[in-house]
Amino acid sequence: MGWLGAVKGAVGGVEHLPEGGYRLATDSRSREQVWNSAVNDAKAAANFAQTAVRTHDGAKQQFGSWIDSGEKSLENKVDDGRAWLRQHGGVAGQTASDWIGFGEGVGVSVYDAGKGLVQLADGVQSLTNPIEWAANPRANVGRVKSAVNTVETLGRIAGLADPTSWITDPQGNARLAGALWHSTATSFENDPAKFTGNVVGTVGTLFIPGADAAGVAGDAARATELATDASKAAAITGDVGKATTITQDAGKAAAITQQGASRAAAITQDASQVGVERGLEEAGKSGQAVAKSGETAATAEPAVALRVRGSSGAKNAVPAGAIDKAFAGALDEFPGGIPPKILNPKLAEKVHDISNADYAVTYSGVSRTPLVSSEHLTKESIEQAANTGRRTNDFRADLRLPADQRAELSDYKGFIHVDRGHMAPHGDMSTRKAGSESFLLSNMVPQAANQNEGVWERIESGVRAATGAGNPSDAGRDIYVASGPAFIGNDLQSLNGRVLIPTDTWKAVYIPEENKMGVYWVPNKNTVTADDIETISVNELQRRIGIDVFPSVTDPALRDQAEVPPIAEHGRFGGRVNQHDAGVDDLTKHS
Amino acid sequence: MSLIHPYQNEAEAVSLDGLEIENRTTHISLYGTIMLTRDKAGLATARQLRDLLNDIVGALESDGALPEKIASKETVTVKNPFV
Repeated sequence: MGWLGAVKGAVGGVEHLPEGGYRLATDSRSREQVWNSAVNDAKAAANFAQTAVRTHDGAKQQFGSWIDSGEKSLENKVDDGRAWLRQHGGVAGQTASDWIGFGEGVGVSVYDAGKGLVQLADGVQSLTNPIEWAANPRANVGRVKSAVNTVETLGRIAGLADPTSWITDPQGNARLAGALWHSTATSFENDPAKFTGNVVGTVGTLFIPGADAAGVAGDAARATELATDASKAAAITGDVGKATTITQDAGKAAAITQQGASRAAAITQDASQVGVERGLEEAGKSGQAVAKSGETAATAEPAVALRVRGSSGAKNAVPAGAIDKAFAGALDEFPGGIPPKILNPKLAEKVHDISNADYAVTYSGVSRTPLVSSEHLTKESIEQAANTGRRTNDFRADLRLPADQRAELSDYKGFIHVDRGHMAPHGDMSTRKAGSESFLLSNMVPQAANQNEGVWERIESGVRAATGAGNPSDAGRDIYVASGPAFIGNDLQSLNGRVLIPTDTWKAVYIPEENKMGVYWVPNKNTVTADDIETISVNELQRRIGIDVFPSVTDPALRDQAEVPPIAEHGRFGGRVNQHDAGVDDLTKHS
Repeated sequence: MSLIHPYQNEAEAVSLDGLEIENRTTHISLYGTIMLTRDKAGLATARQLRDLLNDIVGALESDGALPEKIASKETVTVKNPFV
């Protein structure tokens, strides 16, 4: 689905079909009416949001600091709760604890909304227990519907609702809830099994106050304690300046970041205006208005549905979306917003596009590994990553994928010299939520332990250092990174005949500001040393793996270049690497 | 509080300063670098590291069926589906 499609969807009057497409109206008069009304709605919403922002600066600051302290509090409590559950909860506790890994991410994302506008309505707390969701999906669909009705009602009487979110955009919130319900129901009807794994997160992102899974262990007091704090998360600042992505799809109903414009799923005051205007302009050009379906409430507010890549302008406005839907929501991770292009048709089977907070994955259900994990690093994001408390995480299967195509922890069990090797590194992740997501097995390949823990880590640290992170005298620069496995030769090794072991791993780096591009290529062997790193061009990488990792970059001089940052002397997280003392010699030998 | 439950699961991953700790049922990996500064923070980190190693040693010592050397599972050769 192109972003234009999302704009059309966003401004109303579309029918969101189960397969993710849109049905255009056949009646031109109705098209025009719907379109005009959508345009007016969009303009009104933008004006409304801007007015609200101007009027509530004080409230924004107050809520912002409150959310910041609340986030720390939640993280501590989640960690404590997780440990407590493991110790006391037996099997149920272990299960609940595992779920907290999930709920934690959701909870933190709600806190991350510190700058967003997601609203929690009273009475939906019963929807917040993931285990209960898994057990009673059908019943909970009904409960979501009720909750949505509640939210819609609140939206109509905005003055009575929570001040912050509704102040900024009551209509948007009501419609957002409606959109959530619509996608929830659609997803459930299409695939109940996937629904539980997928939509819990969707609903959770909107409604979950973080740590309620603790309640499963039966410790009511503790659950209450956690929930009390978590419920604060639900109230969101009026800081539209760093807001939220809302999709119309089940994959990510509300993705929220706090990383500011460069990574935001933003409806910044400016961005929303620009984005909406651009959307209207583009849609106007196309001359295609869209038909209003019976599900009026299922359409999101335009200002909310646009995802705008911030600092470099609204030209990269993209729609948010879901797994299996062409990376909607993650285009920031690709140069020019264009994801990797698979050229070898055999690689294109069972491919899934997965969006996460800080990275996107082109995943193969054949190899049960990523083919490419894509990231967009900035000096700021890496400095944030270095300051993110990185404590306990859990390796885990990515339940968003079909069961027969995903890697499980049991696949890697018993292999002593095989790591679950991150392709998008944990050390690049700028929030706890993003860090937790990096441990999904959809981001992992079977990697030789010595390679992963040695040379590969030094490459990762070298790339982080090249952003300028940790160097106050360095203005910093954006870096696009694509990492993945290579499967070379007629025979391959595998884990249990299920997960393919790559023959090599590679990391492609593009630094637009310096006009530099190149690829580190490393054999996936336990005997590997820095001398074994080969530096090649993106074109050569494409010849070897059958994927164009940066298809938006067409300059042949760049594509044939083999320039990569020096690897780090010692693998350290974040900005702790001094790039000037890194092992330059190791690389120049090969270039 | 234990950093990990040694050899009990395939899931836990912990970072201690720059040291990465990954729990497996067959082994525990520690890699990266760690700096133990001569200050209170360094003491706290050092204690965590000591407790981690104590937990690991305790788990190994209390394992009645500890082999001389654990064997890794063998990988399986398959045809490359992508050529």
